[in-house]
Amino acid sequence: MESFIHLHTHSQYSMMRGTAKLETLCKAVLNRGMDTLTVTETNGLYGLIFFQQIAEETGVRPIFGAEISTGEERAVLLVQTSEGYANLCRMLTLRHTAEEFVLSSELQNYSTGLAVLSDSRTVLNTMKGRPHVYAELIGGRNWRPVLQFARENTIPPVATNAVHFLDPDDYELHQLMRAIDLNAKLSRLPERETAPSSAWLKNPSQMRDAFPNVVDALENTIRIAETCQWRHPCQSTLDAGFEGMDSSTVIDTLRKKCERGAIRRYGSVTPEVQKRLDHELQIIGDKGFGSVFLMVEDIVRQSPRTCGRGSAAASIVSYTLGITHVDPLRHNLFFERFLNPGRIDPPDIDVDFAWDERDDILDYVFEKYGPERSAMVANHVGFRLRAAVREVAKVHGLPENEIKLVTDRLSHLWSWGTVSIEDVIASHPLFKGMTLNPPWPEILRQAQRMQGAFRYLSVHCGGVVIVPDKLSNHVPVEIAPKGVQIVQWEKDQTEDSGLIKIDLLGNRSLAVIRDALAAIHKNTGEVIQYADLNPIDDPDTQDLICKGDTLGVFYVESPATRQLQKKAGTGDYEHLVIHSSIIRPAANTYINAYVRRLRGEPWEPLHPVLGDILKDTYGIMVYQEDVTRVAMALAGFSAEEGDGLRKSLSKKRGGQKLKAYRKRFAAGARARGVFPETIQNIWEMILSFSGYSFCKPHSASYALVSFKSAWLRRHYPAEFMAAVISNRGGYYSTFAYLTESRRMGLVLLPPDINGSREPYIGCGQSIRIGLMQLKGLKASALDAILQNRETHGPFCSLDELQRRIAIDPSDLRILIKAGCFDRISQGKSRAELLWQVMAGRRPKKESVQTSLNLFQEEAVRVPELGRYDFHTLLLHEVEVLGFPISVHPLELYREGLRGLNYVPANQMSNHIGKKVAMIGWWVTNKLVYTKTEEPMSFISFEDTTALYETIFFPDAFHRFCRHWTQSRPYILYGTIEDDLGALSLHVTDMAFLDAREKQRKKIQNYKRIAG
Amino acid sequence: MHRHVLHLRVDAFPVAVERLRDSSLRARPVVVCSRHSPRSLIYAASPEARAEGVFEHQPLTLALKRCRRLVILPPDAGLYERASRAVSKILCGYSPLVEPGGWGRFFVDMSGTSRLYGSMQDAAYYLRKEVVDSVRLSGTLGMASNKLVSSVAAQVVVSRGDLYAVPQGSEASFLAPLRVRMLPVVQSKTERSLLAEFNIRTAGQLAGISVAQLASVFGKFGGVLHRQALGVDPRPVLPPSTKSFILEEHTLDEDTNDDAILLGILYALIERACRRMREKSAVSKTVWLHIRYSDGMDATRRKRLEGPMPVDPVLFRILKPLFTKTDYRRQRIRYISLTFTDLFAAPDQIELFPVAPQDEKARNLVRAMDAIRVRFGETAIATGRVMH
Repeated sequence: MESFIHLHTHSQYSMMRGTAKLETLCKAVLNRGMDTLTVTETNGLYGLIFFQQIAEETGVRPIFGAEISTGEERAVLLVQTSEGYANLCRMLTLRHTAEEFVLSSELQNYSTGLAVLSDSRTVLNTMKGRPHVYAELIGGRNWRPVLQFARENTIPPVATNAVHFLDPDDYELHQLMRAIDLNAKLSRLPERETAPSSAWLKNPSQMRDAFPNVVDALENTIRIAETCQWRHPCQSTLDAGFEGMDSSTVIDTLRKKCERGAIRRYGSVTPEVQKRLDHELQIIGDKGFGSVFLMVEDIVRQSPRTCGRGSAAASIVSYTLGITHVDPLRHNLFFERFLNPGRIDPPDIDVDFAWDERDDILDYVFEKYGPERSAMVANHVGFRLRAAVREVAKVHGLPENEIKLVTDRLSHLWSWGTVSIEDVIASHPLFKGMTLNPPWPEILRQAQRMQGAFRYLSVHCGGVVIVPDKLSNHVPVEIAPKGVQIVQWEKDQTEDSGLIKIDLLGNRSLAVIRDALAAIHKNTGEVIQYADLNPIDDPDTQDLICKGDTLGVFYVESPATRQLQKKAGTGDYEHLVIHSSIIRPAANTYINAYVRRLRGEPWEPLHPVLGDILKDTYGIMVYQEDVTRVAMALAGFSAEEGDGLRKSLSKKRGGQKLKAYRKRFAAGARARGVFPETIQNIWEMILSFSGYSFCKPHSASYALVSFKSAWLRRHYPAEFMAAVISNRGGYYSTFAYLTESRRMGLVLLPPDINGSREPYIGCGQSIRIGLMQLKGLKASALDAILQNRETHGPFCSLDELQRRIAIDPSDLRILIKAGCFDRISQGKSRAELLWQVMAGRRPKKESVQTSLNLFQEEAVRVPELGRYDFHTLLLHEVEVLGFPISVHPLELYREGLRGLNYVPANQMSNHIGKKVAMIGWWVTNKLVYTKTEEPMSFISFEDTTALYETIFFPDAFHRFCRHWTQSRPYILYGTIEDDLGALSLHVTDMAFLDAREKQRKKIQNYKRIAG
Repeated sequence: MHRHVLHLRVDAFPVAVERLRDSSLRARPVVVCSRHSPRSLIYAASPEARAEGVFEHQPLTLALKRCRRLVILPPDAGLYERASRAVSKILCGYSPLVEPGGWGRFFVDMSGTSRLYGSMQDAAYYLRKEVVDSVRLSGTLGMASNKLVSSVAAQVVVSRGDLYAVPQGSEASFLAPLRVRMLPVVQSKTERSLLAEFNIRTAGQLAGISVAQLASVFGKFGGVLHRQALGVDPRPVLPPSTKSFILEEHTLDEDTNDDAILLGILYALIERACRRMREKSAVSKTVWLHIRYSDGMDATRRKRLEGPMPVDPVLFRILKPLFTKTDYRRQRIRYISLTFTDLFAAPDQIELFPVAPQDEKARNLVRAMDAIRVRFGETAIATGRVMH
C-alpha cells in the first residue's frame, strides 16, 4: 500500500518552469515505487491528451489537474468528474482571457467536481467548510504557518512537493529556464519566482522524512487520489451542426448542393456521377459528417481561388461542392482513401487560400461561429537547439556577436538528437578548428538539456476548431499575442481529443496566380478566370515542366524536383502527380529506381500480390495510401489498422505504436508466406513515408496548381516573375529570382519614385523593382507617396515631393540611395539630394522673409558634392535593396577571371565526365547525411548564364564547409557528371575569385616594382 | 605669437616598454594581454602582430588563431606608468607644458622657446635624441601650431624617428589630401558614414564647405568639423597636475555578469579611491559610476554625496543600488570605473552630530586597515567580498 502520492507535479508543459518530459516522469514514478502520477501544469492543460496516452502506454495511473496561479493567489485543482473538467477548462479560459480574474471568487462558482489544494489564505478562507478543500503544505517552503492555519480552521492538510524537476541536479536547469523567462541574470533571480531546490520527484519515504509528524497530510494524498478517477473521453465525435439544421436536413441540403454542382462540373448528372454521389452521401450521412462538408463549402465560397488539399480531393462531393478542383472520376481517385465505414475519427478537410486573403476568411469564420464556439489550433513552440544556445548564452551575458559565431554554425544541427553537443563539435567538420572556451562548454551542455522545452504557444497556421456548444467546456482557450483565440492544444492533441478541426491554410502561389492574372488583364486586356485556367494539355507548358525550367512554379521549383523532372523527361500531368509525391525526405533510393523504370528498365513487383496496387507507379510505393493498401494486401491488416499504421508514420509520437505495427506486419506477411527478406524490403519502403508524405488526391490537387503557374511562367514571364517576387516566400531568394528573370531575357528596371508601385511590376519584357524591396522604408511613408501620386499625379522633383507630403528624412534617404529620384534629380547628384534632405531636417528660422540675411541663404545652398563612384553605388544598392542590381556580383571580378579557363553553366552538357572549373554565386544549400551518418551537401550555384547544381561529397564537405559563405564569388573545380540526364558538378576543390584577384594584383605590383 | 606644439607618439607603447625589458622580443609579433582567460582582449599589439591581422581590442582566442607564434605578455600597468613618467620628465626639461595623452602620446608646448633652442626642428631632434638615449624609446614626431595638427602629423610620418613639421599657416593644405577619418572629431561611426554618404572623403573637401552649410546639416557640430578640417584647434596643452578628480578603474580579465564578483570589484574601487582621498585629505561631492559591457555599450550614472565623506562600507551601501540601476542588462561587464569629482579639502573633522555606532565601527575598521596597509603593503589585508 502506497503511503504517499504526488498531487502537484509539473512537466515540461509548464512553460519555462518544469524541466521533465512526461515520458520520463511516468517512468520515474514507477521506478521510485509509486503507481500514480498527477500532472498539474501552471495555468493550463497543455499536455493533457499526451499525458493520458503516455500513462496508458506505461501503465501509470493518471490524475489530471492544473495549478492556477495569479501572482497573489494560487491553487492546485484536481479533476474528479466530467463536470469538474469542464469547470477547470472554464476557469483556465477565464484566467487567460478575462480582464480581471480573482481565483478565490471564481472558485466559488466553479469548484464542483474539483479537489482544491491551496496555501493562499484568501482561497482557504473563502472555500473552507466545503468538501474536497485542502491546505497545501509544500515541501521546501515554509509550510508550518499554513499547517497552523489549517488546524485553527479545521481544514485538512495535504503534503505536496510542487515537483518541477526530476532529480536534484535539474535545479540548475529550472533556474536557467526561469532566468530566460524573466529576462534576468542568474545572480538576480528573485527567490519567489523559482521552485525550491528540493522540488524534485522524491519517493514516498523521502516525502515522509520531509514531513515529520504530519501523518494526516501524507495520508490525505491517498484519500484525494481515490476521488480523482476521471479520464478524458477521447475519440468521441462532435457533430458541430450547421446553421441549426438537424441531421436529415443536413444531408438533404448537401445532396441538393452536390447535384447543382455536378451540373456545373459535368454538364449533366450522368448515371456514373449519380452512383458515386449516392455512395459517398450514404457514408457521409451514416458517419454524421454532413455538417462538416456544409461548413467547409460555406467557407470556400468566400474566395474564388482555393485549392483543396489532403485526401478530400478523392471525393466527388468535395469536387461538386467546389472544395476541390480535380475530377476524381477522370483521375481515378477512390473515395475510400478519404472516408470508409471503418473509420471512426473525423476526416481532414483542408483548404488552401491565397496567403493574404486567409485572414479575412478566418475573420469570416470567427464572426459566423462566434468566440464561444470557434478558435484556432495552437502550436507548441519548443526550444530548438540554436534558440536554446542563444538564450542560455544570453543568461550568461555573452555579447551578441560572440553568440552568433557559434549559433551560425549550429544552424544545420537543430535536429541532432541525443549525441552530446560537445561530441558533435569535436567531430563534425563544421566545427573543425573551433575551440570552445569557457563558458561555452557549459552553455552547450545546458542548452542541449533545454532542447525541446516548451516555450510558448503560437497560432497554428490554419487549424480551426468549431464546436456545437461552448469551446471552454472542452478545452482551455487563450488569446494569442496576434489577438486570435487559440485552444491550448496543438494539432495532434486537438485531433486525438475528438474535436472537429478544419485546416484553412495560406498559400502563396494562389496569390501569385491571382496577381499575375490581374497584371495580364491590366497589360493586355485579356481576362482569364482562375477556375477556367486548366492548361494540363498545353504542350508548351508540358515542355517547360519536362525541362525542369520551373523556378517560381508552385511546388516543383526546388533543385531536387527540377533535377527529377530533368531525369524523368516527362511533362504530363499524371507523372507530375507522381513526382510531387515521391519527392520526400526519406525516399531518395526509391526515386532513382523509379526513374530507371520510367525510362524502360524492366521490373518485377515487390510481391505478386502488390502487382496491381502499384501498377501505375512502376511498382514503387509513392502515395500515403499505398502504405495502407500494401499492409492490407500483404499482411492482412484491416482498413482501420492500415490507416493507423499510416497515421503513426506521420506523427511525432508514433514510435511506440510503430513497433507494434512492425510486429503485426511481419507476422501477417509471414502467415501469407512472404519471405523474410521481402518483408524487410517492403517495411523499409514503408518507413520512407515517415515524417512528410502525401496522398494521391492531395498531389493531384497540387499538381493542377503547379500547371497553372507553369503556364503563366511560359506565356507571361514578366507578369509571373513579378508576382512570384512580390508575394515573397518562394524556395529561393529574391535575388535568385531576379537573376533568373534576367536569364529569361527580362530587363530589370530600378525602383523609381514615379514608376514603381509597392509590389514588383511585370509588363512585356521588363520587371520594375517594387518599393517593397527598399529595406527600412516605413509603411506609412510608402502609403503616403502612393496615395499622393494617385490623386495628384507624378512628382517632378524632390523639393516638390517634400512640399506635397511630410515624409521622414530617414525614408527619403533610403529612396535617394535606391536611385528613386534619378529621373527627376534636376541635375543634382544623389549625394547632393541627400544633403538637401539632411539640411532641411533642421527647422529653418523664417528663412524666406529675411532673405537679406546672407548667412541664411548660404545655409540653404547645397554644396557641390559630385557623383558617387561605381563601388559606392553598388554598396548603396546592397544596403537598401539587399543585393546589387547594376551588375551581377560575378561580373565585378574581371581581373580574377583573367587566365581562368572556366565552363559557363549553360555549356555544362559539352563537358560531361571532364574535370573543369566553374564560377558561381551561392543560391541554396541542402545538407543531408549519408548512410554512415556523414554530412554532405547539395549546393545550387548560378553564374550569369544558368543555375547549376553541385555536390560536395563527405570528403569535400569536410574540407570546405567552414569556408562557405553566401556573399563571395566562388571558383569550383570538379567533374561534371550526368545522372540520367540531370547534370551536376561533383566538387573536388574550391577557391574564391576575389582572393585570386588579390593574389594577381599582388603579383602585378611585385612585377612592376621588380621590373 | 606663434604656437609650437610638438607631439611625440610611441606606437604600441606597452609593447615598446616591454621590449626594453626583454630585447629578445624585438621583431617578433608581441601583444600585451591578460592570459588569465581566453576571453580577455588584446591591450596593445606590436606592428609585427598587426601585420598578421592582430589588433587592439580583439579577443585573445582570435588573435592566436591568426598568429600562432604570437608572444603574449601580461599587462604591467605600473611599468608603463613609470616609463611614461620618465618620458614626461625628459620632456619637462624642454618646456613646463607637457601633457600625456594616453599611453605613449605626449604633447609639448614649445611656444616661446625659440630663443632657448634656436630652430624648433633642432629642438625636436634634441628632444627625441634624449628620449632615445636615456629611456631608449623611439617614436614619431609631429610639429605644428596646435595639438590637432601635430598629432595627425605624427601619425602621417612614415619612418620611425622622423619628424613631420607643418609650417604655420599651412595646416589646412597639410590636412586637405588626408581622409576625413584622420580628424579626431570624425571618430564616431555615424559621422563617418554620413560624410561618406555626402561623398565627402578628404579633409580638403570638408574644408571647402562653409560653416553655415555644415551647420545646416550637422548643427553645432558643424563648427567643430569645419575648424578641424582647416586644422584649427584652440585647446591648450595642460599638465596633469591641473586636473582635479580621482579615478579608480578595473578591467576584468574575464568578463562576467555575476553580481557577487561585480560588487566585489565595486567595493575594491571604493576602497582604493577613498584611501587616495584620505591621503590627500580631500572630500568629494559627486561620484560617477561608469561601466562598459562586453559588447561595447557603456552606461554611466552619477550620485551626489551629501554631508561628510562616508567611510568605505557606508559608501558601498550608497553605491550598491546605483550599481544595480546602472547595470540593468544581462550582458557581461568588461570594465568598471569610479570617478570622484567636485573635490575640495576636507574640513577638520569635528563631529557636530553623533555618528551612528555601526558607522563608528566601520570607520575604526577602515582606519585599522589603512594602518596595516601602510605598514605591510597593499595586499596584506582585504575584505572578503573583494576576494573573488
